[in-house]
Amino acid sequence: MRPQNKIISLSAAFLFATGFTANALDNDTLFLTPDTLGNSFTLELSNVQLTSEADSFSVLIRREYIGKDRKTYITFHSDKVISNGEIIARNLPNDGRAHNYVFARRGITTTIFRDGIQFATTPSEVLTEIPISTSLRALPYEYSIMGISKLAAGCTADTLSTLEFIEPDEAQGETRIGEMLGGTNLVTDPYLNTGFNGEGLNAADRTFVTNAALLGGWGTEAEMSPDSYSGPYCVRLSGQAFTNGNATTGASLTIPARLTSGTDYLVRAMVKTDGYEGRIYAGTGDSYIYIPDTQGEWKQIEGILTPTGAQTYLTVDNSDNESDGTLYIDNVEVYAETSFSRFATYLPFATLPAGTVSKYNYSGATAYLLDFTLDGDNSSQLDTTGLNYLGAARLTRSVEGSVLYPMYFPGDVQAVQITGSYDGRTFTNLPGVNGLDYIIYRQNGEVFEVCPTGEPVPAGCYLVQFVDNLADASVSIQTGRKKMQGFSEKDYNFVGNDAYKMFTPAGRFLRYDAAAGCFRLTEGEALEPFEAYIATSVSNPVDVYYPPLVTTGLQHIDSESGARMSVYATQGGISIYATRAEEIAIFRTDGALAGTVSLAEGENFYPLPSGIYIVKNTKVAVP
Amino acid sequence: MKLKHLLVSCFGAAVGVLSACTSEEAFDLSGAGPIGNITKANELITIETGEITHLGKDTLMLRISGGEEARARGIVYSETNQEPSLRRNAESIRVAMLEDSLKKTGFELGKTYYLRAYGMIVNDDRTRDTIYGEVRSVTLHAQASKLVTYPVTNRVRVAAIVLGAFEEYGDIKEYGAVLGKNPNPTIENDTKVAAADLQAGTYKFGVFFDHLEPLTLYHTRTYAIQADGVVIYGNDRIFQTTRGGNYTWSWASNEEGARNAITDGVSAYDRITEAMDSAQYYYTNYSNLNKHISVEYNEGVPTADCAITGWMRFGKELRYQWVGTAQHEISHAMGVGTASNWRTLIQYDSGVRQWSRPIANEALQVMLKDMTQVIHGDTQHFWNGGINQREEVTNGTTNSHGVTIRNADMLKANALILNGMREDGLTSY
Repeated sequence: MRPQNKIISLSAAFLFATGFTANALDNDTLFLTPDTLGNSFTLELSNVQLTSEADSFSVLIRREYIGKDRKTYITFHSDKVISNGEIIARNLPNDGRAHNYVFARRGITTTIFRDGIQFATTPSEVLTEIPISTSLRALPYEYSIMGISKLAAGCTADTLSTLEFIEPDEAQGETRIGEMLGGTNLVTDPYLNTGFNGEGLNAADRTFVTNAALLGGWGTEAEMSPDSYSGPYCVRLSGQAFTNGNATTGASLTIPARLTSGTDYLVRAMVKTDGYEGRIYAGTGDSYIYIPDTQGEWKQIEGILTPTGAQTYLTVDNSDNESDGTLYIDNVEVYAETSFSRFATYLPFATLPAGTVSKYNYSGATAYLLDFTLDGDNSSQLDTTGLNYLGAARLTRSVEGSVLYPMYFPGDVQAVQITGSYDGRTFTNLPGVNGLDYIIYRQNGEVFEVCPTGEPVPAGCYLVQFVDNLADASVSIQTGRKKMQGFSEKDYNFVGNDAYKMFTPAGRFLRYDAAAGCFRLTEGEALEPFEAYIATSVSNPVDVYYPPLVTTGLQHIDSESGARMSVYATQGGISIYATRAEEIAIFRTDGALAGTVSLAEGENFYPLPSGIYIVKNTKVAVP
Repeated sequence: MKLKHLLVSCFGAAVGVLSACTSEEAFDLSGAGPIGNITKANELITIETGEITHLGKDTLMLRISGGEEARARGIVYSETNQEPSLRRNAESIRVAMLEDSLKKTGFELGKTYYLRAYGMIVNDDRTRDTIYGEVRSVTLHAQASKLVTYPVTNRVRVAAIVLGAFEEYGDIKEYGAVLGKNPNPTIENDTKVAAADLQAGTYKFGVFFDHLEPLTLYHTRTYAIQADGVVIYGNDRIFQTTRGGNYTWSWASNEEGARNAITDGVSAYDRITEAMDSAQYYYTNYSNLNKHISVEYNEGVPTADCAITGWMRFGKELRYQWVGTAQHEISHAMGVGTASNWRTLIQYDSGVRQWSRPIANEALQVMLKDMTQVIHGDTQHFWNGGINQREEVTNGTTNSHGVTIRNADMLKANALILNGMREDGLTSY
């Protein structure tokens, strides 16, 4: 039951909670005299908004104790908060909206919460002799708001508890908690709402610096942004492209989280970037989770980090000092791997060593991310009768150069990371780039075409080829939440083993033979987890299928005249760039002439229906 | 045109046939004597032409059977005479055979040959006859070739060495490798480099691709142009050009002395700086090696030297204030003669004194356009390619085919060989 407080005076501009006793010294102060204020108490001041940036208001909390007057005096300006002569929050942005404050005391400190979020802490109370100047001041307990004329209408004050510290629930202001995993999140401020501590190099001038903030880092170009994924704030960082000669001085972000050396942690975050490419890491940054350019869209990133030493925070910064742009980050999660236990019902992630078939006997248990390993001929496998598997997966395997691997990705590809020593350097979890470190070929009708660099790779089946540089390196491919495989009525379907263990398709099917470079008809062979194959319902299927590999990208050819040309397929036809005017023939794959193009110097477009065409011995696939 | 001469099978009515044989075919040997019958001890003597097999290239396997009683037997063949014989002016060649089969070379691809067994019979009355087997014709078609592309193991910032081999070798006009940015590059559309030499026994060859873009993915495969104009390819491989070597240098001692040492209007400082900057270019772009070199000018040094720590000293002799010397000395900082496993890799103690691993040797072979090359060495140096003398670069190094490689190509070769040694396992420095 709420304690009864008396309102001593009433200002027409205010609405009050019931039960207050107010006593005004002047018309610009609201006095509230609770019956008591213990060592712990919680007071509330809601819907607070200054009518002018130049104005301020103050809060006085006074308790009498053993003949002394214990006072906490807090002055709120538009851009800073001062308590007992000390600035406890500064560089506050004027966001033009009202806020709700809670003053909760426990121990020797009063914590100020703003909109349910820990905002600042007050210094120790000031002790004075009990004043005798007024009868009001002779009262033992006081909660006063001074400068009420500077506040917009609608402000209210209340006592939530005179004896207890009641911490507001920050999660009430968050709308997407359901998208975060269950379990113990090791991040102290996962919603990134508390502001910056301003302690890093050149970080003192950041906006929203408070003495209770948990977020740190260096540089000025970090701010608390209202353009969040959920809740009142997220963090916004600007790039640090100083090696490419562009603008910004940049900034980093540190997020408190206590991590143990050698322990695997699942790290997740929502990010939105525009040109910025960054990383999340714990420690030195040799191993990190890559933040790609999401082109202005909010995306979930996740990965496994294994710190090599004890760490107290995660770091977020620019990955290469060349990419420039903006990063928004919100809803950060860190979960320790939970070893299998018959009493656990939820596992953030679980690592399955190569050559093991996991068995989990506690029915109803669920894991979010499973970490598979293919080590030579041994693969880790999952027995799903004992463990439900929700979503993300990571497959780690050694690779050979130039071999085509038929691979099934159960979810959208999120990251490819490379670990190994080659070309004079040693890499740990180096982000792999499609088109530089490997090539992904996707099926397009009769052919397999190159997935252009930078394009998303959605869940499905692909042929993947790694450069010779990566021979004997270890490659990890992480995919997001799994999606159902689609099956069509076609005679031949490129599908994947989604059993997460050795699987033998019924009947005949075509399995890829890397040595021969083709799919071969077979029966009764067991496929590895994540292996793609060609299922067929045809009664007399082909014995061998050599997958034709084509590129949809730019191709250079020589015309009959010897002039160089560039050819690439585009929506609805073929674009040809010619250095001089001339005629060129386009053929279909059956040899028939599809058209003759009279090229002008420069860019030419020739419309064609979708299909495969040959231009001067070069294949192009029109989508 | 009859390809099989019925008379010579000697089946059917023996006498008539034999008479026909005797009357029509005879020894074509000077001083052979009169023609007589070929009945010896009342037994019919026959000889048969066995299967003629093309073993590849210019080689046929010749087979005969029967005719053991003959004084001599073998195969007679002709390009023009469809009934080759031992007669004079028969435009035929005789191949004597002691066994029933014989491997014979010297035939030409693309030609048709007519062959049949022969047997020289000496009758009881000392007359002589020749018996023949069936005529067979054989056309030596160009054998289909087959290529393989090896993994690209020596790739650097702006270049790569691509090797391959013939798994089956036919009639080839040209061979090499092709490189491009799209799958399965072709000689028509992409960059082609013809190989200069083929390794005996292994049929291995290699080419050097230069002026590539750094940190870029390339496709490459071997190619061969057959005599009939058909182009065949090996398997497509992909590789990535690298970030390059992290090689830097700085003046560490007596820079002022170098500036004051002026000869012919040029200071030692300028010469040495140019030499080191040039070496930096080659090691950065043509190797993946990492090292910082500290340079000292020391007039007491007769030539130049460098420790594995990277401390390099240049003397006052102009001959050695030069990029080749810089690279030679840098190689010692990179492990040549100084790495813990140098003696093992150069097989010094066993007396072999040749580089024992493939990648560095292949770099030398390809850069010198000579697949017979092998890196030789001692406790401190290696050759060819070690730039042990200035003239190896300026005058050039001549391979076993009389081709001379010089200047920038030798400097690149040195860097690529060092890179290959590192890939072969030369320990860290």
